[in-house]
Amino acid sequence: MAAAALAVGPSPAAAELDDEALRLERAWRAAGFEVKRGAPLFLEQGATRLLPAGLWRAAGPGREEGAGACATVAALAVRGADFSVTLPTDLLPSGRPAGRRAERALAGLVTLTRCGAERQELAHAAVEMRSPRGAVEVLVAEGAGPPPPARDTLLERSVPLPRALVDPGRARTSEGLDARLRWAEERARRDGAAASERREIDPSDDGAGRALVPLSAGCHRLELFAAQGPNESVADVDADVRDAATNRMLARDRSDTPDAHLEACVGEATTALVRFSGAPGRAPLTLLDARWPLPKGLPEAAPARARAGMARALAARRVPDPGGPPLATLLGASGATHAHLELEPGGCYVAAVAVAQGEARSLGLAVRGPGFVAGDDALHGADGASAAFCARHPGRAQVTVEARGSGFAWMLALWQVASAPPKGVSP
Amino acid sequence: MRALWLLAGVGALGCGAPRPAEAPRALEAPRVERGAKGEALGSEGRRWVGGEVAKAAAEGAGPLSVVAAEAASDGDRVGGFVALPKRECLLLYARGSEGIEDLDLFAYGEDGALVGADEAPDPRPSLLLCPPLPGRAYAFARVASGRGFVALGAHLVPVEAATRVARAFNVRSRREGNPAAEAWPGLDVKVQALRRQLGGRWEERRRSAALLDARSPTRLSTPLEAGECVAALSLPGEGVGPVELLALDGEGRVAGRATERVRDRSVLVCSSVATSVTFEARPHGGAGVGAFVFLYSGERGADLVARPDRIDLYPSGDVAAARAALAARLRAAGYGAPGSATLGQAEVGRRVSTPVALGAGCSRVDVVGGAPLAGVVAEAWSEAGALLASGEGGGGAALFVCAPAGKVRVEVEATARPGPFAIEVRREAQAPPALAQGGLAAGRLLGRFNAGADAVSAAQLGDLRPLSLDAAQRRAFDARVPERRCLEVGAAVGGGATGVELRLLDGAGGAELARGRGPYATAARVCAGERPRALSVEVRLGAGKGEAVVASRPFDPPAR
Repeated sequence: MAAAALAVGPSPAAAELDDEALRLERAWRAAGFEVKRGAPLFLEQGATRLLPAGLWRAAGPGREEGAGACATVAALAVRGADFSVTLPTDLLPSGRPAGRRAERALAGLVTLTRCGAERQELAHAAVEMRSPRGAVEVLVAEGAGPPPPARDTLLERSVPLPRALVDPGRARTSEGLDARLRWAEERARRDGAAASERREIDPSDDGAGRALVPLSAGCHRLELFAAQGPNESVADVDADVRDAATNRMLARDRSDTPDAHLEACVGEATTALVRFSGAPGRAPLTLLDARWPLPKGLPEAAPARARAGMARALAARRVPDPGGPPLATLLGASGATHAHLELEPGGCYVAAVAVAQGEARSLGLAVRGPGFVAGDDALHGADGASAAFCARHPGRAQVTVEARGSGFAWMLALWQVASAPPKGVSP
Repeated sequence: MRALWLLAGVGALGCGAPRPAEAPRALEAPRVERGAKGEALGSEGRRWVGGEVAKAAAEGAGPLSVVAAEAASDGDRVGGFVALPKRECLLLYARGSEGIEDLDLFAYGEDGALVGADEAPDPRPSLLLCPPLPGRAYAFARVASGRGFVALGAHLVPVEAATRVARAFNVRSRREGNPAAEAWPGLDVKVQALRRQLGGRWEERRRSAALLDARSPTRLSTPLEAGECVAALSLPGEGVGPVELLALDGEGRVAGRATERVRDRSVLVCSSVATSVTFEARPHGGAGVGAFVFLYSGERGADLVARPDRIDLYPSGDVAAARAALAARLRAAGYGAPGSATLGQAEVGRRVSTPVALGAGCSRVDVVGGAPLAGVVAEAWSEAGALLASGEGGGGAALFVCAPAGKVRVEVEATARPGPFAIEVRREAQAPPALAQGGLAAGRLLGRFNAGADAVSAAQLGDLRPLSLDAAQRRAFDARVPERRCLEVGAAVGGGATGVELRLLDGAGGAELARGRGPYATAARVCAGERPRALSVEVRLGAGKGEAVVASRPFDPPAR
């Protein structure tokens, strides 16, 4: 086979998945649930594995009520992992699934509860890995109802839903191209877009194509709309956008929706390459480019790549524009790196970390202070992560950047976005 | 700019020079998690990897665990989870039956990050994984060619036996023909020079490249075992000015800094308790890439390293030795001998209170700890019950009290390990009147100036300004940085206010050169080139209103 042996750089002891699964198992047991834990799975990208059998009792007579009426499955991977737990949409008479719907992980966690007869769906539940690879722990809790939310125990996974992960649902193709375009333009206006612009792109015979698109510095929502095809066939346009100069992926849409939706930020004027497939015919597609300026408070010293990553991370988490320059900026490399922040009681803060150079295998941010925990990971190929937190008490917060990869650099920025009058004296 | 990949991910094998001899430890078999199939075939697996057990044991490895065992053919994978050790190395190997012609071996962390791989074209792949490692890995063998039975074996290996085991199992290290070292001229020579300076045996566990920029510090953190020392070497690349290299303890406090007057800096940090240490590098000017190399002494190394420039995060000697070291450090800042000293014993979870008499004006009150004390929190209270100052540190704390003459109560508590301490009082005899009368704000200001690696006395402060501040109004004044020098400006507030913010603006163009913000005190620094630099200093509060004190101190920039 290939070349020589390889031993890769120090992997800092991150939060151990095994420990987190154990914490959740203990918390659910303490709440009175019967909990079983399966052997951990290790999956490569695209691999799908049925949940380990024997973790829960089969549904049956007498199980609809009382103890054991509900079964809750938790699938747990590292916070940045992208995976889904899929369930059958319906079961064929043979007992096989007719189709599948996916529950996508958020902060590396999926929980599903099924009660009564619906519990039999869990026998067909499967884990599908979308990240390059990773480990998944599976726990099942059985009891009269659902157990306490897993995120109550795994506080570090309590993150707001990134905007990009909100499933837009199936668009209203029946309304026609013009109506959908107007609707998208109106939505961009409501979301505060500075401008939006239409352009037409011609697909090839097979419904695929590509186009070079100039992007100004800022954040862009690129949406590709296709008209109905021959015989009223409905499109399922998939697309990705890359930096044409470096071929670095900026965003990708592989969702099961007629129109493609891409969100990307660039720190400087960039020529992007938009590639698409799935157009229903040779009719031109319409690309709608809605633009937002970069947040005002991004560090001036940051490389363009880091500014873009921070902007995307702030926007995806709905963190407000910090407005002014950061309190502090730091540069770092692979590994776990710590920074400390003296907190103002009543002060609110925003932290954002982004890749400044090279490619990261993973990048995450964790903040721990007196009475609070906050965290975020660069999910699904994003270039940055952000967290917002407020200090109720004086003290010190520890900000930890967990970065994996070789030959890359990150930049962290910390902003204070609010202050409160003091309540007491503290030297 | 030199690309970061030049030093990418180097040095993880951790199988460098052995550490000082230690008593052999009884090793257990590595903990593995096998699926049902692997469990059933575990005993069969021993048949295929068992032949390696004697060889591993002869070189010092512990007992065997079979990670996985299965029949497989081209493209199949055979693997399982294995717990990775914190202190030892882990030897992993895959062996197959006769029909297996080429096997590859991989280990991935829970997050999918590669921990190690052997893809050499032979059927006997081996890996030796050494700390720091993630807690668990998924190890698997992939059949590149052939069909038959495949088994994975694992043993714990003491770090001191790692080189022997690596040789016996033909573990191929990336360090052999390390491209990074070749791409960074002189790097290995400089590492060797540092090894010679340090003496003894040091294990290189990490080599990193990082961006360096005068506008933003660069940080790298590393865990440190109890009784261990780490030497960090920083080498700025082309286009980067001399670097100030600081060592920060696990709480982010500045513990010390590199003192060499040469371009390549190194700093030696030791700890008597397990903690993390962070190195912060900031070039005086320019931007580019720097190389960082970390050498570790091993767990008992701290007892063997006797260098005057070593930085202890927690006390390593007795109180008398710590007091002597503090006296030497404070003499350089113009302080005299302490006026009084009181001895005590700090405990964990209980505050020890000691009455101390202070003269009018400002005083520096040092709590000086001796081994085995680890972690100190100290507070000074007035007789009327007002909190006058507080501080903390790994082995001691400095409190700055500006108040009328009288008795104060100094309360001391150990946070990690109990031990002896002394309280020393030094008067800030040359404190300017505005500072001596500055009360709480003046004490906070002195504390802020002393938060760095240098001791700063009140006598070193100039341009003192008492200011009344409120959140709605910004106060501004002019300042000047002498040529070829730097200026640190500090600001602190008394009671009733919070969030003091300081901006240093270019006096000519108005561009922001530096800024700082802290709950009660802050500081910012600017350096001048060949000509003096005019500054505009702006101070404002985040919330509330109160009395503030602002002062500045000139200092020399890092050596070029």
